[in-house]
Order: sequence, then structure tokens, then C-alpha cells
Amino acid sequence: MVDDERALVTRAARGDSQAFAGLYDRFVEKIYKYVYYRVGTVVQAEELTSQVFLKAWESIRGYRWTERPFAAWLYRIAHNLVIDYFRTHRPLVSIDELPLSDENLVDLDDVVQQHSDADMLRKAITHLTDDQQQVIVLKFLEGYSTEEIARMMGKDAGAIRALQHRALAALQKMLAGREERV
Amino acid sequence: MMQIILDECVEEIRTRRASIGDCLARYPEYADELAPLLETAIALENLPDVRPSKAFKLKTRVKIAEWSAHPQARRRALLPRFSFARLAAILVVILGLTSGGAYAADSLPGSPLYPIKRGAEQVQLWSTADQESQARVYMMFAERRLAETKALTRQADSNALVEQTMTEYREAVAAVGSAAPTTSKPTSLTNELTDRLTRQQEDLKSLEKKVSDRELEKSLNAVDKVKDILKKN
Repeated sequence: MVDDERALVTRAARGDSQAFAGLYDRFVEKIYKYVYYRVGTVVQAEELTSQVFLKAWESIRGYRWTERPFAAWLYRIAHNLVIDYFRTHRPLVSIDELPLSDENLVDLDDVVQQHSDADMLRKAITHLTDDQQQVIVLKFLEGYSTEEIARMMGKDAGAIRALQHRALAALQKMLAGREERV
Repeated sequence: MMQIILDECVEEIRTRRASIGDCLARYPEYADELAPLLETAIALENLPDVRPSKAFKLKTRVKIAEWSAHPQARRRALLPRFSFARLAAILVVILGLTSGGAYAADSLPGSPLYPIKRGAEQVQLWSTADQESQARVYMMFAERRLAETKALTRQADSNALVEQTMTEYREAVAAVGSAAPTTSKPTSLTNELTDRLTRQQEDLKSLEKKVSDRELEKSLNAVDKVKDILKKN
């Protein structure tokens, strides 16, 4: 799997657009999810995801294979683009824009409730600090382990655990505050 | 210490090796602080699965193919290729005035004149502005790639070229789905494109036993997907 990925990266770095398309197929859903949970709208998530891959295509020639996974490089590009986005935009969130995969569309009442809870939590995520957002998205939405996240973010596992702790505490506080107001 | 315990419990709960109750029972002295954090972690785990739409994925896939030929994108890396494309375009114009142009149009992948044919296609694409025309141009490319595949299957030792041409066929088909304008009901364009795709499916089926089952299946699926997109449009 890693060898296969490395071969694709090497070919893409030589200008092989088909190899790059292979990398795109492999990572587009993860990058989209990462961006979506940070910007909160489908339109912006699509725009930024597209930009991530354009930027990656423009820079892949200078990419050097290291101990850090290739995904880390893509997440770094995505992270920088999200930061740039927030320099000029405020986060916008809407229940109507929360996309569900087809298999989730089972019962309308369930979906409405799920939208409501999920929307509240998603909004809360966008209020975390930048590093906390990254840890939460990579851990709970992308499914990476603490050690993997540490490698991706260039920090040690202890720092990731601390960020996770503070992020969960902040989310819990925000959600508790919302419930009390309701 | 709390951070390590929290991380351990989060990992075990995520991987279904323990429940919140198990963790709280294991660390009673931290239970009051742990419980709400673990509830929040579970709520995060249960967030709906978010995926990009098929239309977006296709559109970006097509963009990637375009970036590789675009002079502004990745200028340094593509300089030789882009220069060649330009040269090919100039050659096409020159050859267009002679019988050689027609000769290049009939060329197959692997032949010396084939890059000229592909260069001419890029020029044609660059000069096509509206979405309807683009969809028709991509459809024409798809038909060409399929015809090339059929011709290649009649040649010896052409497996690699057949596979490459079928991949490019699928890319052209995907581009049709992406370029076709969105409409609320079927139009003459969507009907025309659907009919042409149906004919391609028949052609693909005639390639059974001549190309690998996997390539054939992937291509038939690609056509089905684009027909679905056109129907939903």
C-alpha cells in the first residue's frame, strides 16, 4: 500500500497526471471531510478541496518522501488554505447544507434530529483553536491514531493528547452551554 | 496523567474494545471529569459521514487532466510537454493543409503521428467555450478512444496500449458528465449524449474476450455513472 503510494507520488512528481489522479482518488474524500468540518459549508469545502489538489499538483515536483506520510503533506496544504480562508471569511454554517451519504437517509425524523445535533457539534468544532480543530478532525472524523496525528502535525504524542483533552473539554463546555440555553 | 487516561479510553471506545462504563470503572478517581469528555468523544464519532458529491469528484478529476496541459499550472514541470503540445498544434495547422492531417487523424496510440492527433484535440478543446459544445467535444474524444481501443485489439502485443487507451476513454466519458450543463428535465443534448453512450456500451460489450474483464467492467460502470448523472441533471 505504502509502496504503491510511493510509486504514485514518484510518477506524479515527474509530471504524470494519471498518477496524480490516482493520488486524488485515494485522498479526495479524506481531504474533503477535513476541510468540510473546518469551514462548515459544502460550497467552500468543494472549492478549497479543489484548491488543495491544484496546489499539490503545482508543488509535487518538490515533494521529498520522508518518514511522514504523504497524507501529512496534503493535510498541511489543506490546513494552510483553511487558514487563508478564515483570514478573509467568517465561518458560515447551515443545517440544510449538512450532506449525508445515501445510506444515512433512512428515516426523516432521525435525519432531522441527527442534523440538529450534528450541526450544533459541527459549529462548536469551528470555534476551537486551529490546532485543536486539526486534532479533533483527524482523530474522530478521519480515524487516525494519536501517533499518526503526531507525525502529521510534526508534534509529539504528548502534545496531541493535551490538545485532544483541551478540545474535548472546550466542546463539552460549548455544548453544555447550548443545552442550558435551550 | 489525565491526558493519557483520556487518550487510552478514547482509543478503546473508538475501537469497541471498551465502553464508557468500563473506563469509568477502571479509573473511578477520574470518573467525574472523564464521563462528559468521553460522551463528547462518542458524539464526535457519531457525526454523519460526510462525502463529496460524485459530480464534484468527477469535475475535479477532469480539472486534473486539464491542469496537466495548462501552461499556467505547474509551468516548469510541464514546459517540455506544453511546448510539444504547441508544436503539435502548429504541425496540425500545417498538416491540415496537406494530406498528412488526415493521416494523423487516423493514427493510433503508439504511432509517431498520434501525439499530433492529441495535440489537435487539445486545441479543439481550448477553442470550445460553451458547456454544451464541450460536452460534445469530450463525447467525440470518448468515441475516438473507443475506436482506437477496438483497432488496437486487432494488433499484436498491444495490451499496455489498450489498457492506457481504455483509461483515457473513461476519463473522456467522465468529462462528458462533468461538462454537460445541469437542467431540470431531459433536453435534446442529454438525450443525444445518453444515446451515444448507449451505443458505446454496445461497442464495449463487443470487446469482451479481447480486453481484460476488469477494464471492460470499469468502462461499462463509468458509462453507467455518466448516464445516471445525465438522467439526474
